[in-house]
Amino acid sequence: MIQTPTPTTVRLHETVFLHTLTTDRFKTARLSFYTLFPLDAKHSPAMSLLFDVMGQGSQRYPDTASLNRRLDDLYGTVIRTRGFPWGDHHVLGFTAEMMEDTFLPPADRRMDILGGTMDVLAELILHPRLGSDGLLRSAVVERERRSLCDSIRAMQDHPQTYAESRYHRILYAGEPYALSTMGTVEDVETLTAEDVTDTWRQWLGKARVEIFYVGRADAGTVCRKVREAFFGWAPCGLTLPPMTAHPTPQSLRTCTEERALTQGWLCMGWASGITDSQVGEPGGRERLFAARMLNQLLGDMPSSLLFRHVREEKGLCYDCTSSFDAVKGVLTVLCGTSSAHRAAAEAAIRAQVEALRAGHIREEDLELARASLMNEYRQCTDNPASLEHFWFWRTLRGQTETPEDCLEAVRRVTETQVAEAAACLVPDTLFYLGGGDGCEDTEKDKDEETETETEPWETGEA
Amino acid sequence: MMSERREAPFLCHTLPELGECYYEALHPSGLRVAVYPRAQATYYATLGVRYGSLDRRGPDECPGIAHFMEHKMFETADGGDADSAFAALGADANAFTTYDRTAYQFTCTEHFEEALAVLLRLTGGLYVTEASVERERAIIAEEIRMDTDNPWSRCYANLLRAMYRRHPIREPVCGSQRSIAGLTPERLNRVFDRRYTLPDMVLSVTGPITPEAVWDTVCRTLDGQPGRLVPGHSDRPRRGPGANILDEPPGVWRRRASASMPVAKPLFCLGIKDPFPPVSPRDRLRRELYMAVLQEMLFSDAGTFYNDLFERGLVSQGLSYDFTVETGCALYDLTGEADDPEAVFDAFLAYMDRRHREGFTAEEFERARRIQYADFVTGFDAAEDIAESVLCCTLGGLSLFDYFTEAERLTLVEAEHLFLTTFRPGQYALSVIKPCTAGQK
Repeated sequence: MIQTPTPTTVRLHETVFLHTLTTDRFKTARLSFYTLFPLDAKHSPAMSLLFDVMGQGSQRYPDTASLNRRLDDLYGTVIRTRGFPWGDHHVLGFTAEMMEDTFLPPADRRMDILGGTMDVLAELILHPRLGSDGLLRSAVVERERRSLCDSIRAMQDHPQTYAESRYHRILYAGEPYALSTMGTVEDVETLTAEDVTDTWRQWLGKARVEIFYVGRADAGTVCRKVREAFFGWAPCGLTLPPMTAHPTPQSLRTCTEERALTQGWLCMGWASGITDSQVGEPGGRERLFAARMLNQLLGDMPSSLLFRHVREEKGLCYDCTSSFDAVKGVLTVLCGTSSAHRAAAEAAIRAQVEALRAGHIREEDLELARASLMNEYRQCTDNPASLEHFWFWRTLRGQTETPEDCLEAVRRVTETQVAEAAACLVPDTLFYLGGGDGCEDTEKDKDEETETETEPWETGEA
Repeated sequence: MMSERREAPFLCHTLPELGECYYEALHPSGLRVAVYPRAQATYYATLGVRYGSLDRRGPDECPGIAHFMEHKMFETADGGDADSAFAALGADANAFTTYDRTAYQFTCTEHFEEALAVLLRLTGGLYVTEASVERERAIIAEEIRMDTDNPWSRCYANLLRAMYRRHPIREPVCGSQRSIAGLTPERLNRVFDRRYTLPDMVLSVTGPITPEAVWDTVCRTLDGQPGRLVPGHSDRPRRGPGANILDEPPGVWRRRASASMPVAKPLFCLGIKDPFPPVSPRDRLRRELYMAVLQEMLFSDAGTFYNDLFERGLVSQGLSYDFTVETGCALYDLTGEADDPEAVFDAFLAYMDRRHREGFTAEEFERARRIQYADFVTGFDAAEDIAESVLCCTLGGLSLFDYFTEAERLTLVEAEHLFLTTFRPGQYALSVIKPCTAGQK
């Protein structure tokens, strides 16, 4: 196995950490700046909007055109705003991907792409463009507010995404995790330039920040460049509250939302009570890896039980997969199926889960799951994004296990442990989106019917 | 059966500027083999057939048949399936169909040679029954439905149907429920025999392997597999494009397409049809490079068009742009959300007028080339993409590194010429997905 670089962590300030993964295996370097705070109905939308506004320019790059020209000059460096939940916490930030300096053409060999990118990031964060009133420019705030509202509304455009988000809200009702990191249209519509500027100033003073770098530069060089770019910024501490536990459901919650779709989406969740916060407890780590194996076996590998029995044997769907949320300990099955197949698909999925709960696990299936999960851990070293991803979650948990440690843990999972993990599953939430026929073209061009020739396949000739 | 070990006649493709190289050889069966050794954990193998959704000749080849075949290729002679064989080796297998090829692939971190043998054995035959074809029809119907509910897919599909009158790019890769309704085991077998010959296939592998190890597995597997060898393959002419491809008129067929779906805001795809699409693989490669530079100069978020639309609030959440080059077909597309897509179209027309008057600057051209260079370099970090790119190039008789050498020869004059011949009235079409009005489902 290729040896994975382990992160060198430097505490730059009280709550600002830099994690450097030095490796010369890639031609792309990756620099991510993340901030973490409690997921909250008021604060999260304001922070999301703030980062959208910050991404639009700075004092040195006063508009998106000049900002993007600078990034293009840095050989097409791309900076993306990223926001996602980590259980009850909100992770928000910028990720930059850039070409390694080593591959610059001879004429530009002296260029410092990492340093240049770091400067741009620091500009966006520390020196956004302010108006004469000392506020973030209201025109930009207004434009980004509209855009964020559009993004929230556009969730409904993608039936699968929408179904997953609705299911998520029902499943975690009462927990901060149920909230969207973008907030609701109502939350965002009321935000003003004053609100967003206040949010920025408060955040600058009190921020928890994790910076990740994957690339050829050594830890000392990256640390120096970060210190230079972010010189003078010293936020004080922000303590994240502990995650709330997802309660064991008393009964199955079911909900159907009628929508005219040609293919509906069925989301089914089971609570297991097995989470990654228990790895320090006796047997906790073993239970967590057993739950991961269980998920792999059920629906997270190409030859999973759901793929074989629900799709291939019964032909009830195209997509039927499972995922395991280790933060909350919930196993979710997602299945895209027409309303005519909905009941049969639901029964077939439930039958597979019930069989596992009853301990019916074939040894050969378990070995398939083990091989598939081990593949995943080996593959995580093969590109900068997956390497960052692997270490990001562990760093947040204060864990130091390497991919090699994970492989060893997977190797040791027994059938009994997987059966025990399956026995912990309690039906939690079921959501279905669909139940009608999809919209048809309303302005079908009449010419098409007359001008398209009948094709041989349409006449049934062979 | 023992097979004699043969020396691999490997040709080495190198790109010293980036320290990259890979190997290519022709197996006596006609199968081309490309091996890209890389220091990584994952092995990635892809077997591509020069048969995609655009390849439709004769009554058997209905829209969607190449994709249908892809679904059925994993069934084995003993009634089992190759998925299980891959899974037993810890390999994740997958397959996909594009406009010009069908690819079967797997990734693994162990048991590579055994998994490669499973992949190569897929070329041995198609094993389908009435029942299995029927079952697959139901699965593919679900796949088609999934796409039908996706407004972006539908918007783009409608754009293609508006722009192209005869070219088979009009039809979705999966076909339609109607087009696949008449598929039978006999039709599939006839098409398999015609299309799935080893000279029409390429095996591309990346990972911690040597060319010799791959070659040994190829020889061992294919030498023991009768029936698929095609004598005299090297003299066999390649099939040229069909009449439906060559007869496509240069201008767009219809300028507007519209549909209603439950979306929050209107979505649009604005298409620009290249009137003189390239046909040969090398011409397609050159056209791709020019189209990439041109679209960067015209539509990038560092440029005036994008920022003007954005500042004026004509588009929300940005604007994405892309291009497609296939045999006898090339187009650019601009995609976004807008309250008034017609206003975006008007702004586009005004911008094109300005560009026709003012042309492009050397600075814009250099910036676009710089991005193209970086994209090429950083693309080497995606092992899957490399194997697929090598596959595409090898199927077309090209080297992956031809991109690099051809890119160095790009000129602003030729880019401007392409702009002037393509970006003209009569080449533009607009597809819109409007929100359902009250009362509509």
